[in-house]
Amino acid sequence: MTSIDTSAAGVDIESLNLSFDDTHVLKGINLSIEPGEFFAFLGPSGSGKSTLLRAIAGFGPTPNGRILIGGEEIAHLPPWKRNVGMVFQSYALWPHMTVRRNVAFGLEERKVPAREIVTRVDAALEMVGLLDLAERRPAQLSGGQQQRIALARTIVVEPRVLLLDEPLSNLDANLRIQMRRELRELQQKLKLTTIFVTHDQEEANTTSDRMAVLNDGVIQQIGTPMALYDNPANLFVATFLGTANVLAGAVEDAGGGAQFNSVDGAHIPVDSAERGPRNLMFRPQNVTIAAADASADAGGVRLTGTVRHMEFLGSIIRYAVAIGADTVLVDDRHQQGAPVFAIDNRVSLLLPKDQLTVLQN
Amino acid sequence: MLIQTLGIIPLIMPPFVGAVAMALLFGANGSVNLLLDDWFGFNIPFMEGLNGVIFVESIHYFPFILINLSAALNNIDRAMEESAQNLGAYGVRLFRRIVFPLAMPGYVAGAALVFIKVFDDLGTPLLLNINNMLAPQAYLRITSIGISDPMGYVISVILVAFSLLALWVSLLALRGKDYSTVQKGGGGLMRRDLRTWEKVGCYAVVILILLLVLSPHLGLLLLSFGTVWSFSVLPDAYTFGHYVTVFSEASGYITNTLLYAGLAAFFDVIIGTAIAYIVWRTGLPGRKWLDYGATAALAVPGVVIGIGYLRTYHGFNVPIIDQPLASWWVIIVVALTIRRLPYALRACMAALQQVSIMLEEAAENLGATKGRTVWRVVVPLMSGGILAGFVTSFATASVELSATLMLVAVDSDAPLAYGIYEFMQSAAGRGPGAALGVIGVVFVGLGTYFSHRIIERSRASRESTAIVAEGATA
Repeated sequence: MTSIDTSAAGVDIESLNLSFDDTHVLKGINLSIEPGEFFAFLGPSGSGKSTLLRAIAGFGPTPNGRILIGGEEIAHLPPWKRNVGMVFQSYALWPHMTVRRNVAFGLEERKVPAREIVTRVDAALEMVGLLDLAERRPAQLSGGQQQRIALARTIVVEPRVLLLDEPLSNLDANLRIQMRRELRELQQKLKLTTIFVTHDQEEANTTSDRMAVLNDGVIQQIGTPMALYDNPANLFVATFLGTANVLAGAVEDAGGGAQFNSVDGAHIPVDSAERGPRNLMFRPQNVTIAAADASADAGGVRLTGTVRHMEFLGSIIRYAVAIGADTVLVDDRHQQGAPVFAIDNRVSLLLPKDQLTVLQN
Repeated sequence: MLIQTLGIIPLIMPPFVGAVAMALLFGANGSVNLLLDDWFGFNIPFMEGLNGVIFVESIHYFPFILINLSAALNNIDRAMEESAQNLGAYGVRLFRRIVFPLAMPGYVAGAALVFIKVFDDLGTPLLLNINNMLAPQAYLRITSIGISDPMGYVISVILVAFSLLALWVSLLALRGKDYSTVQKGGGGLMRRDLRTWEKVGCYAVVILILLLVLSPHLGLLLLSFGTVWSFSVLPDAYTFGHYVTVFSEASGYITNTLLYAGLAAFFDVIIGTAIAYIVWRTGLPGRKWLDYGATAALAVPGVVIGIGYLRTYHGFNVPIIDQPLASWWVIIVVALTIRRLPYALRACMAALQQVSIMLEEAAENLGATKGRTVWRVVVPLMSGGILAGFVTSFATASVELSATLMLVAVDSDAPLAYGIYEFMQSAAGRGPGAALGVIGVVFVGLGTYFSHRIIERSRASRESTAIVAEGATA
């Protein structure tokens, strides 16, 4: 067993606002992260996700609002009194110290007895599998190794919360996939409350229990990766998480039910209690492309259009189909010998009603 | 920003010019001691003997350390500091364990450079009448006993040895410790918000230092406008007479300086560009040694270059004009070129490194020969750096005294620094000497300012190059 012993603490953020000079960067952030949870901040660059993480660690301008860790208000504390561990995007390993000295740094600052420091540093290096590199300098290590040392340096002090600022962005693609698995395993083993900042939805999906999507300093939606993908709260979340077809229009009454009438003239029956201007969203893989004379199942919708583009992506073929003035993307699972719809062919698109999502404008 | 700019000003004036002004301000009968005597009844012997040299040189070269240190601090990634804070370090411990060690190489390099420069300085000790230092000894031996006196050469060898040692120390400090850790995004340490009283304290210290650093200039300015200035806090009366004297009698010094320093800087950037290209873009065997050789000129004290040329070309008569090469003015240009080559070379190398090799390959791919590529693509892209090299070489060459003092044969061939030195020798000449010094400072200052403006402007129009260069390294 490991000698690293962490006691998980929850993180609560209450009406947090933060400005750089005149720029309002974080706008009314409210967030509650459970003890031991792996939580992701996902958003495009400039969305404020790193700023929020840094505010939890105590860096950057002083925010308004409350930040609680384990129920204790910490917003007024300097960074060195917060006991939240942060792994920096650049790793920030000090080049003038060996790996061992780097990892021991936090324990030395905490006045831990020298004997205990040795065993705890060994345990942390063992945990990331780099004990034999302890006497090296950071410059002699590869990117992945540096990343692991940075992680060891942070967890060795047994922080109450682990903050990861785009930790995988400096690694190459294969290593990134491996490291995100290792991160998840380590987090599960330590039961450590972890906040992971990323702009890559795949990273957030694969690692986190829940995530918050940020845009323009505002939290757009909080939930499990799958819930957010299937039921996005708004257009931004829908398009940021994967590819989405979005039709503009309005939901109106039609023969006892609801019908979505697109601006460009498509009429699609939907299950919706709401009425008024809305967007209709559905994912390319949920649409079935078929010959022009195919008919829809019960509970399905049939649209007809013309194939405009076709891309062969290996596992799927992605069609762009023009329906009036709208263009809809359709992913068709590729099977050997299956017919391919050529450009300018008339085709039917079959949409199951339960895969349609009505979004607020 | 303001603090940095004002801190650099002293560099554009030779230290010995400041020495005279400082003697008047801080000497036994200088302004400060007169004031102290009036108010508190005691004196501080700032300028007595070796103290004077130490005092003048440390004030003069303070900006050198400042520049090196601020560059070193600028190159530290903010995350380096933040990660230490995150792990519990703060205040003095944070500085001692993280910031200071990371800035150390810059610090040592700056200190070694200052050591070499002070070691080499001939004018200051001579003007302050401190002759028992190595550089003045070498000079006095050669000029008083004669060119055949062996002691001068022994001292020269010792000078070179010590300078090389200092250069070696600075290289050792920097080797394998390229701590410039800035990643894309946030560079430089975080700005600190100070409390009001801390701000007041900081400004007080900074202003005191600035006053000290600028005191030679203030003294020089007063001296150049003052009529008689002795045993009084300020000059008795003010006049433009000294400037009139300078322009009527000593304009030759100014034109000579423009000619010598201009030629030297011109040759420096040409040689610098050539060496930079050979070192970075060709596989020529021994190209590294070309770099080392040119840089080593940094470690050869000016006095030694002067003595060396004097001795070597003493008996060598230039055919057409029929006089010894050692006393012809061209030898001054040659000496200055060699002296200032390292500065130009550094600037050219830095400029060339910024030019992506892909830009050259693109030109060659479109049919330009190597030579045409260098001329049409590389040199234009390097122009900012080349100009910077030219100005640095020009500015430092125009205030050079150590090497030229040896080589000036007739007064009509003498440059500005020599003129100032000559004037300063006599009490009556101090006014005109100071006026000449002010003119020199203004000249070099303006040159530096304009080249800075030009470089800024060309940088703005060249953002696209930076993008290409970035792509090449990514």
